[in-house]
Amino acid sequence: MKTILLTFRKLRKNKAATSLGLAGLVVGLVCVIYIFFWVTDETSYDRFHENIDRIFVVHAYLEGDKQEVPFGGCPPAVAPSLVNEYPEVESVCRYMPGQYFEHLVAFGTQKNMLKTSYADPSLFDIFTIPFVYGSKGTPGDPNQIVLTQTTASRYFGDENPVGKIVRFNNNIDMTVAGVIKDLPHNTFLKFDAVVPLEIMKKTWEQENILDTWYNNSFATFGLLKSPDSFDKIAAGITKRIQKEMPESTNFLRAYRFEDGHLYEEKNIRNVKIFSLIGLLVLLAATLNFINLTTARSTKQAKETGLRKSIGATRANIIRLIYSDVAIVCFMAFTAALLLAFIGLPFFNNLIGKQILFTSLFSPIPFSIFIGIYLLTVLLAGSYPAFFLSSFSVSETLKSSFHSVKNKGFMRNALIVTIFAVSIALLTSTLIISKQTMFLQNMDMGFNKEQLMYITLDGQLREKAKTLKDEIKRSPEVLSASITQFLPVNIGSNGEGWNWEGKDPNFKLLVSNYETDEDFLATVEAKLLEGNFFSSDRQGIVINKAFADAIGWSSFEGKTLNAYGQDRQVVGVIENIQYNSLAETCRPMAISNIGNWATRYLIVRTNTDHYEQTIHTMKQICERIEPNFPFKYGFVDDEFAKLVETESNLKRLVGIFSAFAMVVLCLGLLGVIMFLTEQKTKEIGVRKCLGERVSSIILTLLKPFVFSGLIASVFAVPATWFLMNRWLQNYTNRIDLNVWIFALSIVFAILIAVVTVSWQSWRAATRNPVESLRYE
Amino acid sequence: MIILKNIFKYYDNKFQRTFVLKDVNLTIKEGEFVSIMGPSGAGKSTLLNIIGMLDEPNEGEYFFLEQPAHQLNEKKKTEFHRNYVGFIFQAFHLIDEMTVAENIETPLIYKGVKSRDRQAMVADMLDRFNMVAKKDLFPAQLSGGQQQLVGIARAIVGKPKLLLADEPTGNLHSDQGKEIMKLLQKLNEEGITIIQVTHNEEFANYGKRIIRIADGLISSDTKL
Ligand SMILES: Nc1ncnc2c1ncn2[C@@H]1O[C@H](COP(=O)(O)OP(=O)(O)OP(=O)(O)O)[C@@H](O)[C@H]1O
Ligand SMILES: [Mg+2]
Repeated sequence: MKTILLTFRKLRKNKAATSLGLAGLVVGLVCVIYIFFWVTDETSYDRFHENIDRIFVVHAYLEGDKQEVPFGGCPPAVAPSLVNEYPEVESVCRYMPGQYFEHLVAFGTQKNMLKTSYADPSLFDIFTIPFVYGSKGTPGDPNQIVLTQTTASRYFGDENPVGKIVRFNNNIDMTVAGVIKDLPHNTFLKFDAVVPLEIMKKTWEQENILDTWYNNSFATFGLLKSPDSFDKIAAGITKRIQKEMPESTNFLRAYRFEDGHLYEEKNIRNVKIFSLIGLLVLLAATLNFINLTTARSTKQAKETGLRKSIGATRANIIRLIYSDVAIVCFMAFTAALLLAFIGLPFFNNLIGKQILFTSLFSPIPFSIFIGIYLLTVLLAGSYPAFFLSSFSVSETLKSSFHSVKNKGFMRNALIVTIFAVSIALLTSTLIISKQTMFLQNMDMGFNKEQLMYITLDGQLREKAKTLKDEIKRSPEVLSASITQFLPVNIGSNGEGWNWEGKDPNFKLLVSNYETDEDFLATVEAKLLEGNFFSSDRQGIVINKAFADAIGWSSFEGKTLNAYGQDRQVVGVIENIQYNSLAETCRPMAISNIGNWATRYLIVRTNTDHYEQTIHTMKQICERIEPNFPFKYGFVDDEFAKLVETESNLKRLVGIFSAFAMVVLCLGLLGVIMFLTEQKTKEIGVRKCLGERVSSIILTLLKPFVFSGLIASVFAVPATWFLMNRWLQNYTNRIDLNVWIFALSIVFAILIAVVTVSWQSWRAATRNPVESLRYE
Repeated sequence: MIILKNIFKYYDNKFQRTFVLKDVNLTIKEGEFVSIMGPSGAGKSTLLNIIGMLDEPNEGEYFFLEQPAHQLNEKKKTEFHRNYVGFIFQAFHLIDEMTVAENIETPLIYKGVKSRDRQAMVADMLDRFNMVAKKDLFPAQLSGGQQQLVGIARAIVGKPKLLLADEPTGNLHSDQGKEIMKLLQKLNEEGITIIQVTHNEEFANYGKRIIRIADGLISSDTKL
C-alpha cells in the first residue's frame, strides 16, 4: 500500500517523462491486446467441441500434374464404409455447409431464405451443439429441421416451436425437431438451419445421390473411440475409392479435426506473424518505458544509495524497483484493457470478426495474459534493478554524481529497436497492401463492374428464359445471361477430358461451366479465337489455360472428348480468373446450359444507380415466382470475398503498424525531450557563441538518423525474408523491390526528424540566458 | 570502537595510481565527538565512507566494535547499517516523494521494527525536533535547516552507536548550522559517538577532537 502511494507520488512528479512513457506503454499494450484477441480467436476456432481430440476429417485429392489438388470433401459413400470397416470409428457424419445453400423456409406468412446445412443427424453427437428445445429428431425421418435460436425466434418468437410444421423449399413439409443455441462465430458450423442429408434425394431429385463413389462435395467427419487409432485410419483409407472404382483418380486423406483451421487452412502462418508483431511491439513499448523512467535514474540511483546506507539490502532495493514497475505496469495494463474494450467493436468491424471481450477471461488466454504482464514487468524492471543497484553507494551519494553517461549504449539500442520494429511493420504493411491491391486490380478477364446477378429459385429456374427476356426490356439492362455459377466461383470440375495425342498419364482438372450464349457479351470477356457458341453454332468454348495445357496451335473446329462424349470447340476465350486469386487461372470449358443447371441470371447494367433496376427486377421476379423472396447481388461483392483474407490481413497489419508508429513517435519524443533537457546548457552556450539554430538542430538530429539507418540494416533483411516467404503463397504476386523498403525507411526516419526537430527547435529557440540559468 | 590500521585507498586510471588515503591509522573510542578537517580533495569523505562501510579500503584493516569490517560480507554490513550507524549528508538526501514522517520511518522498516513501535518512535523524533506540525509535508516544502533536521532525525531514530556526518552544515547558512551543531553536541552528550567532516573551524570546535587531513595523510590529531 505504501509502495503504491510512493509510486503514484513519483509518477506525479515526473509528469512529462511519465506520461510519455506510460502513453507509449499503453498504446503498445492496446496493440498487443488486440493482437492477443485476434490470436486467441484464431487458436480457439472450433476448440469448444468436447470430442475435439477424437474427431477426424476425410477429404479427397487428385494427384494432379504438378501438385496435389485437394477437395473440401469426398464422395458420399466413403462415410458409411468407414463405420462398417473400422471398429475404431464410433460414428461418421456427412455435411454440406450451409453458407452456400439458401433455402426458402416458410411458416405462415413468415418467409425467409435460410442458410441451410445438410447433415447426417450424427452431426449433433460428434460436435458439441447444445439444444435449447427438442433434439436432433427421430432417426431415419428426412422431413425434420433443426433451427438456431435466432432463426427460430424469427418465426416463432420465444415460443417452443418443436413439433411445428414449416414449409421447406416451397415443396416439402418439415417438422421442427429442435432449436440449438447460437454457435460462436469462430466455428466452421455456419448455418441458420440444418436438415437431414437424406432430403437431398428429394431436393436434388436424384435417388442415388448419397451412394456414389464420386462427387467430392461431402465434407466428411468421423468420431473415433480413442484418439490413438487415428493413424490406422489415415493409413488405411488412401485407396479406398479405387476398391470400388479402380479407374478413379481420387485418393483419400484424413487429418485431425483440431488441425483443420490452423494447419490445414494454413491460418497458423498469420497467427505466427501476428504473435511476432505483438512481441516486437511489446518490446518496443517496454524499452520506451524503461528509457523514459531511467531518465530520472540519477535521482533514483541516489535514492538507492541512500536506502542502502540506512540499511536496505540489495534484495530490498530490487524488490522495491520491481514493485514500482509492477504497479505502473498494472496501471498501464488496466488503462490498455479499458481502451481495448472501448475500441473492440470498431476493431471487430474492421476485421470482420465478432470477438467478445470476455474471451480474454477464459483460463488459458487469461493465464497467458498474466504471463504477458509478468514478462513486461520483468523486461521493464530488470534493467533499472540491475542498473541502479550496480553503483557503489559512496559514488551515488556524491553531489557530483551522474548516472547518465553509462546509458548511451542502452539508449541507442533502444532507439534502434523501436526504429527496427517500426520499419519492419511499415514495410510489411506496404507489401501486404500492394499485394492485395495487385490482386484486387488484377485483370480478371472480364468486367466485374456494373454486373449484377439474380439467384434463381423455384419457378424462376423453370422460366429463366422468360425472366431474362423481360429483364432485358428495361433500359438500364444491356445484356443478361443464364448461368450455372457466378464467374467468380465455379464449383464443378473433373478429370474426364481427353483429346488426340494426350499423354494417358497426364491428369488435368478442368472446370465445367454452363452458360447460355449471351455469357461472353454479358461479362465482357475477350475472345481469342473463333466464336462463342450460339443457337446456330453448337459446341464448347475453352479458356486459354485449357488451350495452353493441350498445346495445339489452333482450336476452332477441333474435337475434344468430355466424359466419353465428343465436343466440338468453337472458340477460345481469355482466362476468366474464377478460382482463388492466389493461384493461376485453371482450365475451364464452357458449354451451353441445360435446364437443370440454371442457378443465376447475370445482368449487365449501364448505371451505378441501382435502385430503379433492382426495383424493376424485383417486380418481374415476384410476378413469375411469388413464393420465393427476390434475391440479388453484385458480382464485384462476390469478387471481394475472394480477396477477403488478404484485405483483412492488410487492415490488421495496417492497424498494428499505426500503433507501432505511435509508440515510435512517443518514444522519440521522450528521448529527445530528455536529451534536450540535458543539453539545454550546451545549446545555450552554443547559441551564445553565435551558432545558428538550424545547425544546433542538425547536430541533435544526426544520432537519430544514424539510429534509423542502423535499424534498417536489421529490419530490412528480416522483413525481406519473411515477406518473401509470405508472397510465395501466391502464384500471382508482386515483386519485392527496393523502393518499398526505401520508402518505409525514409518515412520512419522522417517521422523521427519531424519529432526531433520540433522538440529541439523549442529548446534551441529558448532564450539562451534562460537555458544557461537552468540547473 | 573504531580501529583503522594502515588504511590505503587509491584509484587506478589508465596510466597511474592516485592515492587518496595513504597509511591512515586511527582509533576512535565510544562517546567521542570527532571533527575531521582538511582541504578539498584531501580524502575526508573517503575516510568517512570507509568508516561507515559504504566504501572499502584497498589495503589495511578496519575493526568496528571489535569485528574485522574489512572481512565482513554484504549482509553483515547491512546489519551494521541497520543497527549501529547513522548517516547525515551535506545534500540531506531525503526521499522527495516521502513525507517528513515517512522519511524518518524508513530505516525502522529496514530494521524490522513493528509498525506500532515505529509510529511511536517517529512521533518521539518529531516531538523532539519540534516538527510535529510538519510531519505530513514533503522535503521540498521545508527550509534547508528543517530538511537537515529531518536528516538527523532519520539518522538517529534507529538509535545508532555511531553517527557519521559529511559536512552536515555545508548547505546551510551559519545560524542554521549552529543549531545543527548544538543538536549534535547534545546527541553526543546522550552517548552517541559522532564523526563529522567540516570546513568550518567554529563548527569543528563543537567536537572534542579535531583530526586534520592533508593529501591522504593525517597531519594532526588534537584533543580539545
Ligand atoms: N571514483 C573516483 N575515481 C578517481 N578519483 C576519485 C574517485 N572518487 C574520489 N576520487 C578522488 O579522491 C580524492 C578524495 O576525495 P574526497 O571526496 O574524499 O575528498 P574530500 O576531502 O571529501 O573533499 P571535499 O572537501 O571537496 O569534499 C579526490 O581527489 C577525488 O578526486
Ligand atoms: Mg567530501
